[in-house]
Amino acid sequence: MELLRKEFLSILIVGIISGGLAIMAPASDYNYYLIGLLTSACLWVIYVVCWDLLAGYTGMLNFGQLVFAGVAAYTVALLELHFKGARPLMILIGLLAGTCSSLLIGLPSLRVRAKYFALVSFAILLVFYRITMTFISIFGGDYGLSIPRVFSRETLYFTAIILMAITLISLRLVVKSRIGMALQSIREDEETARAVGINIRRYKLLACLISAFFTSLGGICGFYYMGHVGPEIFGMMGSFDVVIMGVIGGKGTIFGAALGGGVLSILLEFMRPVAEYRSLLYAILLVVVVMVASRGAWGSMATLFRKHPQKKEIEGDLT
Amino acid sequence: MIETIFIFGIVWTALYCLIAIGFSLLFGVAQVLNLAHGMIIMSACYITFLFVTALNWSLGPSLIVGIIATVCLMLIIWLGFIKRLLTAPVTSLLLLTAGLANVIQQIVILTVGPHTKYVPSMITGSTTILSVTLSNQQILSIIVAFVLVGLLALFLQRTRMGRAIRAVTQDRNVAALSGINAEEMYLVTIIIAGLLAGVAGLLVAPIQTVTPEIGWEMMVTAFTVTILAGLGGPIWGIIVAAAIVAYAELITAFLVAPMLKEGAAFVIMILTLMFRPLGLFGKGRV
Repeated sequence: MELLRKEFLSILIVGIISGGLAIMAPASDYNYYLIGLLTSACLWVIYVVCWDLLAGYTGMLNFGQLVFAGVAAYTVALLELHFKGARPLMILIGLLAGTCSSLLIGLPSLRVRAKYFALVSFAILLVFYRITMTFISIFGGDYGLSIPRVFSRETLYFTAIILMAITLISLRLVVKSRIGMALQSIREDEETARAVGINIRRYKLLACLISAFFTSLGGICGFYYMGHVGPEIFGMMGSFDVVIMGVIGGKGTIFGAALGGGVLSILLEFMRPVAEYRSLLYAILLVVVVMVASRGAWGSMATLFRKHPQKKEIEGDLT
Repeated sequence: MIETIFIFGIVWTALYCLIAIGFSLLFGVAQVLNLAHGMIIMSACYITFLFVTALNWSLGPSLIVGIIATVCLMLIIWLGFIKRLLTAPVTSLLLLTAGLANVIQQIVILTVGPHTKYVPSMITGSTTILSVTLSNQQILSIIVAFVLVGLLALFLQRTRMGRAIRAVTQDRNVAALSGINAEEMYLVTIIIAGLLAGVAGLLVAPIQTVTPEIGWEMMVTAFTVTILAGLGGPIWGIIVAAAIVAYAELITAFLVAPMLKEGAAFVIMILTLMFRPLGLFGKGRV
């Protein structure tokens, strides 16, 4: 309760933004282009914020965030295609599969330092891509899996907004709670964290599971919106975009990551004419941000507007 | 089939050694996981390809230019980027190298295109060993790789500088106390890593089809071999680890599906991290 009161302002802001987004749909007379754009922006925000919980708070740099979304989406797609069951049950199974897929990265990383996590997440991305491309009869190879439209675009738009709001608020509450403190102490120094009695393995796994849970939610919502899931969800590019958005927005802040996800994903749309240079541009931007302002846009702004400059953290201390 | 797996296993063991040693050395000496390592190897393939096809150079000079360019690329990445962030948190360094890897990949895609390229073999002809036909190119790869690895082992064991590098790997502070300039050793390691990466790229290029994507695969291979061998272990530990990974991948490719060979590497990686995080021959802490 104490926590809820402290975070009242941020919850209010999230509520206002979500409400504004929700009004956009009827205000634009259900313009499908705009709705599509904003839906994908909401989903990106979910992915980036979940990435931030792992990378920004726990120090587990995940280069394969979309693996969770992909596993969930493929599971739901397979169930939709082959077993005509109750839909909530299918979604639940997809959610479970997506959440459990994080154990593939989480479990091997328990006994080693967080930096190994990054490499494992790279490898898992590669392996899942290969699996979808190898067993073509099951996963549809290059074409992926498609289903006819189940929910209307409007429904999914509002669902995406609600999911985004829930994700933002829950993650904000998580990182401000004892769990968040434990995660940050693991990021800063695993030995010290262990010394003060934090069960590192449990908290690392918990972070993985929470992150994967919300990412899976986003993945399933995105799957129903597109009516399609393909191997590109396990591609390097998509997950790397998540990383870039998170870093540029500012990792370790939740709202910074959300800002990065929202702005950069909408910017993606306007970069269609220069699509082939887009990846290069984003990659260069990532290098520059890491070199110059490692705390991202949000962190830099926070430093600028801070009332007591003498309290300024040492550069790199917060990353 | 057993002969085929056995013989080709030797080829890939040799190549994986070359791919992994640079990565492993740098990880050991400077504690830097260079995610751009695979992309640097990949760019060596492409630089050679460009010189051979676009500029019509003959293969010999192109190879030399390829190796020199790789070393230069490695030096640029080290001096211009990684070195400045050595004291920064680990995540910054990983993000930086991943970003650089993507920059390299995108530049290659923009200049050469995303399609598969074929680099001509350095030597032609083939030899049959144990009823398995190997191209002479592959035999050359084995010889070059093992000679280089042998030379490197000699360098690390016998020379003063090699000993200094190993000392820094084991304990940077104690090494500094005994008058070893760690910065200098980093630089030497980078040059060696660049050299080996260049040679690896040139040897892999004619054997494997080259796409901009193989950089990631090579990086994963390099990492798997590195952690399986463990840090601070002997050079032959890397050869053993490379052999395990190469044979596991080949057997998977033959028995299950060629596309899934990375899956075998992934399983090895996970099992190592879960049950023996120090690696087979590693010393010190994880």
